Amino acid sequence: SDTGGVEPAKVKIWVKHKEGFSDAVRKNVTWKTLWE
Amino acid sequence: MPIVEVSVSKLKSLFDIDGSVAVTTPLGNTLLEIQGELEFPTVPPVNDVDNKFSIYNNKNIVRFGLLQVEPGSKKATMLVGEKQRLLGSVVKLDSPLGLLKFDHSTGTVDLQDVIRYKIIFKDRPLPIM
Amino acid sequence: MPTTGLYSQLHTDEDYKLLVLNSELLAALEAGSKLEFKASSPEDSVVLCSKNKTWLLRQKNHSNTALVMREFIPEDVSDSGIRLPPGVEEPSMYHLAYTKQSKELEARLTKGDIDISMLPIYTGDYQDFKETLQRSNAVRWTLKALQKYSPCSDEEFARKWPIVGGCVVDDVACILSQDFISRVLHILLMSCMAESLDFEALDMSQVFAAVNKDMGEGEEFNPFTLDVVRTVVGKFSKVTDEGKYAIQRKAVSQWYGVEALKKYASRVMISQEEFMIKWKSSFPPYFTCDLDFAALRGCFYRPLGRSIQYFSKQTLPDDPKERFAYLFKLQSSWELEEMIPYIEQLNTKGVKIDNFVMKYARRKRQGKRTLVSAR
Repeated sequence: SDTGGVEPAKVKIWVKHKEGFSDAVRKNVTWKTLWE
Repeated sequence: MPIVEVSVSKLKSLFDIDGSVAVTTPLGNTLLEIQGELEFPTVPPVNDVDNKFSIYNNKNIVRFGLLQVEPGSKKATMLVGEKQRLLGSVVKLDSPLGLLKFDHSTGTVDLQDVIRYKIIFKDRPLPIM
Repeated sequence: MPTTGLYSQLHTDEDYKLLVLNSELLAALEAGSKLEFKASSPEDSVVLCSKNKTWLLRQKNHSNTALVMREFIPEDVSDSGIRLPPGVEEPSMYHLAYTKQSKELEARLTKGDIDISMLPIYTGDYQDFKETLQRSNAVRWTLKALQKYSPCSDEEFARKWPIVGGCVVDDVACILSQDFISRVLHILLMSCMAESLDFEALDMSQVFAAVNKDMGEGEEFNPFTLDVVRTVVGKFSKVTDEGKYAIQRKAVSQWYGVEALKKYASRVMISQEEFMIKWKSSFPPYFTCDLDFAALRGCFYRPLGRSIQYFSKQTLPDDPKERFAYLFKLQSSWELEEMIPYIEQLNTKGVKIDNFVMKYARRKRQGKRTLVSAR
């Protein structure tokens, strides 16, 4: 669409990359946390 | 009370289909994984010049990107926002993932789908060429 | 190349979770088994149960963003005016991310468990049982309720319940006392032999009739109810394909062995030879079974080398170092095989037991035997 010359502040949609991947943490699930 | 049966009624048919390669399940679900965070405003902005924000089923939604999966290949490309291009791939999961829906109002659990593939984007985003 | 338009809800739904469907779980689902999440109480760990298996549920958190998306048709698709980069087609499909996941539930196969610690004990004295129940404010579970709240699949429950001595008296789930089990077992074996019933294929109603044949019809209370008989038969049998009960002579022999240890070697030690004679003479006349002394490991120690004395592992400290120290105070040197039952539950990581022992003690080979002593 035509913005009419003046560029308004664009909304930011982007991927914030993370170095590395982790999934080391494992814990038991209680009935309460199951429903959280 | 601490017991609930998982309803699987939706899935009966799924186990009859033998797993042909499809990123989207027969029930229409797709798993997309990004190494990082997908950032966008949590409220629709005033100056939505590109009409990215809209409403679907009474919920605010945002159009955040475009996806291309090369037919017959495992390569995927995702364009996010105006600037980023991510290269990823379609991978078969070591173990399928069951999608469970927990209904707090009725206290029931429904196994809604079985996901066998995902599209994963691990690499640092590139600029759109 | 077809293009998919990607959308996301600004606020994704929190009601979803992903469960890793390992091959066993998948097999259970494919076989049409029901799946249930169960926990003994809201603060307790959740297990997942199929008809015949139990899994402990664990949560794995990860650092990626996983979006579950579903196909949809955006309401404004015609006038959205998407600006497409060169060479990219107009989207022909649309996906909407409706839930964002940063964890997965994992199910690890475990053994179904029945917590019997809060159940009343039944000694065969009905009057006493009723009075105790009235006096104490113990929770009275029906068998159904107990099964429902036990972290255990239905089939495992059915198999385990008689093994732990579980029974029902007046609709209350209870545990038969050791002495009562011994009494019922003894009478049951004698009655079956008197009636020439086949120990390889017992019929529950026939056993019940046999046990009650000589009970007479007096006023006296008869503790050998069908439920009691069923528990004791179940505890010492395997169910055959034909639905009959095959008495496990090994299990019977071991039970009599432990009882003999308690009776003759609780306060004083006894030579192994003398014990074997006592053990052999404790069975009902004409009942034959092998006496496998190794089956009694975990119920005795040897205070002075050869002689044996009854010892229950219930009294041992839970801390591995303390437990080893305690065991070496009882007996300075142990044969590994005889020590294993007292320490194996400490080996939570499942290391080879020889190596596990080395962490807390010294190991020495002597011929074919392995001796363990304090460091």
